[in-house]
Amino acid sequence: MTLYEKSVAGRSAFSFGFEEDQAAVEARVPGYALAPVKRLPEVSELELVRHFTGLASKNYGVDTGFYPLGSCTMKYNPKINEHLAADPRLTNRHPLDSEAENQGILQMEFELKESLQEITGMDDFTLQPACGAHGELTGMLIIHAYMQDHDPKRTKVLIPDSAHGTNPASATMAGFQTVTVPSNERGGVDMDALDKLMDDTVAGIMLTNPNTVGLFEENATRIAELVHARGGLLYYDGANLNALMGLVRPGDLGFDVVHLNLHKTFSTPHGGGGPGAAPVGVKKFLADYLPTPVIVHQDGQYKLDGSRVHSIGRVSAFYGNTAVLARAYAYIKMMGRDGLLAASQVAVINANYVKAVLSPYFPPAYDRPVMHETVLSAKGYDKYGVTLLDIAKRLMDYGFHPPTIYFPHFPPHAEEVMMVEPTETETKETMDAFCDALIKISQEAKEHPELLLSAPHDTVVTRVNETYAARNLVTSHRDKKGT
Amino acid sequence: MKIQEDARYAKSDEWARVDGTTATVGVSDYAQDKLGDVVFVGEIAVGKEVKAGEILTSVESVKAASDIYSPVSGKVVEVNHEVTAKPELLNSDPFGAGWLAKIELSNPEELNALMSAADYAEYRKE
Amino acid sequence: MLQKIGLGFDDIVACFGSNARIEGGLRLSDGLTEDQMLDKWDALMSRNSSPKKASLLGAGAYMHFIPAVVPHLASLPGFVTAYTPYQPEISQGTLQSLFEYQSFIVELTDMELSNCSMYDGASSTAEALLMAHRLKGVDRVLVSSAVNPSYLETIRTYLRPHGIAVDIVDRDADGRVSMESLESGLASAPSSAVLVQSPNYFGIIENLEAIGAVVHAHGALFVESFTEAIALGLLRYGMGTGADIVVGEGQSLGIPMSFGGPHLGIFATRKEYSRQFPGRIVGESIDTEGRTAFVMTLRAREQDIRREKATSNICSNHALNAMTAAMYIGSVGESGLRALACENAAKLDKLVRGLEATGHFVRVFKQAQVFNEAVVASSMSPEDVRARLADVPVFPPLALAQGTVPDVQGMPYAYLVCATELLKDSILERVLGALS
Repeated sequence: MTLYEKSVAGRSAFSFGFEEDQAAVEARVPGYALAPVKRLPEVSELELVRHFTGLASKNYGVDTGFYPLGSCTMKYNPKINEHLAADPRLTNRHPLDSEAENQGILQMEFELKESLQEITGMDDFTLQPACGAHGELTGMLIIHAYMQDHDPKRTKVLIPDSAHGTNPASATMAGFQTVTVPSNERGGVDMDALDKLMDDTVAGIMLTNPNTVGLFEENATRIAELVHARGGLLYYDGANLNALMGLVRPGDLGFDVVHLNLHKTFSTPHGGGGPGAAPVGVKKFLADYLPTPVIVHQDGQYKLDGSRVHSIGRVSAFYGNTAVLARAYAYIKMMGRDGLLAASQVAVINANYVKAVLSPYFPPAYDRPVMHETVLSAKGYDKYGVTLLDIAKRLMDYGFHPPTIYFPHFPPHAEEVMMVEPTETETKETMDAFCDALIKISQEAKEHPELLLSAPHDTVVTRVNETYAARNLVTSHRDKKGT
Repeated sequence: MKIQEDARYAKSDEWARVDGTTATVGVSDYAQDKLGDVVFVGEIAVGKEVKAGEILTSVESVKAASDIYSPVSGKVVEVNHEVTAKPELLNSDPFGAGWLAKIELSNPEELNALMSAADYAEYRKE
Repeated sequence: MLQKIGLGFDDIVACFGSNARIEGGLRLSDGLTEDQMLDKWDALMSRNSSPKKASLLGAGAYMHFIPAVVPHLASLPGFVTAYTPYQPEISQGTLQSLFEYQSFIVELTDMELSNCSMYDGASSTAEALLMAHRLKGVDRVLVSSAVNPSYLETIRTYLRPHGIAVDIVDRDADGRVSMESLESGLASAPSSAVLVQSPNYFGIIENLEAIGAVVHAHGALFVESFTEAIALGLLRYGMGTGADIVVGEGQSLGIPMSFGGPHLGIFATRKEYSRQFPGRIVGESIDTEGRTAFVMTLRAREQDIRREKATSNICSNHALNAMTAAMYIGSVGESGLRALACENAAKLDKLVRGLEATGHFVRVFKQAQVFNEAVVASSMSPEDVRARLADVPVFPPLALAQGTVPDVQGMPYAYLVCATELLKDSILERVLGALS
């Protein structure tokens, strides 16, 4: 039942000391603008609390259990970060108040910037983008603006077929035409294809490294040399940075523009789909193109610098998701140099461990060591009439969130691969329990496939009908029949 | 996999069935199976000029979106409004009630470049 | 575990090659313990000025009362630590909460379809114009000059790479959209859309219905925007006023200002445009037992399926803030939101009258009706205002650049002042006392 359905006329959860005359205001609003009272819930505070507490309990979260979602880096969200981000000295600050009054917040953001520069090997950062895709758009707008100034015939961007869908979507939103670069049989960029495609109409290439199949791009430096030599730039999608902290820096590999996902690598919570934050880093020659304002430290003061000569403008009304940035700041400060390195090392070891345990049942897509995630195939199970989706749904009956199953879908993998990313915050015991569950399910597929086909059974709702949802579109209370 | 004998097929899984100077076009049974449950069929404008191989419309299933290419060149003279209202017809009857458009052929020789039913069956044999 | 893997760590990372590894480790400080982190944080936050009880500053971010139950519910770990609800069977909490948010937005904006959030009002507005461009195909949009300047800058950033011209519709002497300028702008060349903000940047309520009629007469789409969501509790928007798309900022709905983010992008439209609509949508469905269940729907518009042909690149959004807004709306309720909106308007009226009574301030755009923001001209400089308000726990108002609004004889400065329900009489008294 929704809050509307629980409403009783006249009930309220609100307690506020009004001082003014409501009727007098309504009388002054021009007739063309005054709305009738809009239909909203009328519930008591207890009803409201039970409603949402009940809903929260129907959700699986990192605090509930293991989330082996490849490319999502569902690591633990430290509670100290939540505590700091809720500090009223941060939350009750107006962004347009003077810089002099907000030196604490600006210093925190500047120190975060410096840490990110050091971790990635880049020269300057904007903290403005709200999420990964927003960061990609920002980075690609920077490249687009640079090329418009220096070489306007470069209107294309190369994107590997393994790339996350946001890459081509962002490149298109930034005004580029996208060209797909195939992957070779080792899962990396096909260098011959790249050689043919990289010409003087291409602005650059977008790469994820490690890529979406969990492999480090073996030709990373060669790709950078080739693209740069032919006048292009390199964009780094930082979704998989969790494999590299303290080990390798995208700036050192030759990337010119980088985005990071603080809600992945840097432990900020996912919130059911955001908010996150995606700082974008650039090499010096692009710093003038950053969206403004940029946080700087001048004459002993932290300032919002609006003077970037070639700035692309703004991608949001203010300066970025401060409350999310604060969480990442605390994470980096508490982990420190050694903690960040250990995080990546353990993330890589954990993924290789899970791969070793599961390989006999779900063969890895590529037969060599992986980075922080591994891609495993379920292709052999179709002879029992079960698909990867069925295996994923059955995992929920064992109390685990399934791994990523919706991508990557580029040849030769098509539909039947799952991407498993344990992250470094999981114990060996948890990973063993997960592997045991998958091994049991692989047995069930042969002996009792009906258990998979009808899964999940032990969840609050059973398999939800997506076709029905799309064919009978009901997206609000107003749409529901009979209201 | 169902095959309609009196149709010609494109490599991209569309079919064309000729009746005098017009061809009725749609997608094959193989195509609807690969798409999954279709939830949306894009509007096609009557009077639209198409060339063989150009995008005629797009269809959506829950998890995918596909461009549908016209197998023939000509002008759209009739459109199937039933299938836009009930996209599931594309799944249940892709050769019949799930037809997409009728096209007045501008270049009937093109049909020779399309596959026969037998050749298409061979092409899409799993 | 390395034993099970059968390799040493260096073997695993041999793929890095010789020139990629960092020499000597990252140049970052040692890690802190939790108590050390608290101390460091305290030292930082103490460098901000003292806390405020109310804000005379609006302009896109607003200080409102947030009932305690709202952050309590919004911080439940089931919501906070959950992933995007791709597996609906174990995400009904997120999905239903977002469905309810969509329902409230549809009601408040009087539209047919809402997505489950965008990042903020500015990027949401830019995406609305891109959507209108996809629908109409004309490389030009008209934007009211009284739209928030940061929104206008964001719009230009998003539209520039596509060669879409952004032309401005002037305002009249009363600070509202000039109908003359609108007519001539629309008549001079075709446009995909016209964007009008209400209340506008100067706090003025626009006549959306009249504007919408003109926009449609010229075949363009009408996009309405707002920066102060509390206005939705009192004012008309949406289909009744001819809107094709309604977008804006939802931060006022239970989300703290947090020095600029994260906020909440609201986006609502008509059902006929559903295929061109950006963002995620939750729909109602059934499970195998026929029970009501919620699921993300119309996914084929999105980036992971359509890639370069997607309606937007948006992936993660601001879902938790949308849920927070739903909790806030449930908490203030039907009568509460209406009462709050009225309280805001009344407080602003009291503030402006009080400022005028000091003799140092006079209202600009006197003929126009405002909501909770207004422009006043003054003889007092911004430094003077700030200095006088130093001991009053309020954020001082925004000083507008000279030339932004019509000059007033003897009053060379202009301010955009704001009042919300937090401007209690006791604080207002101190403000007016300080500025007398």
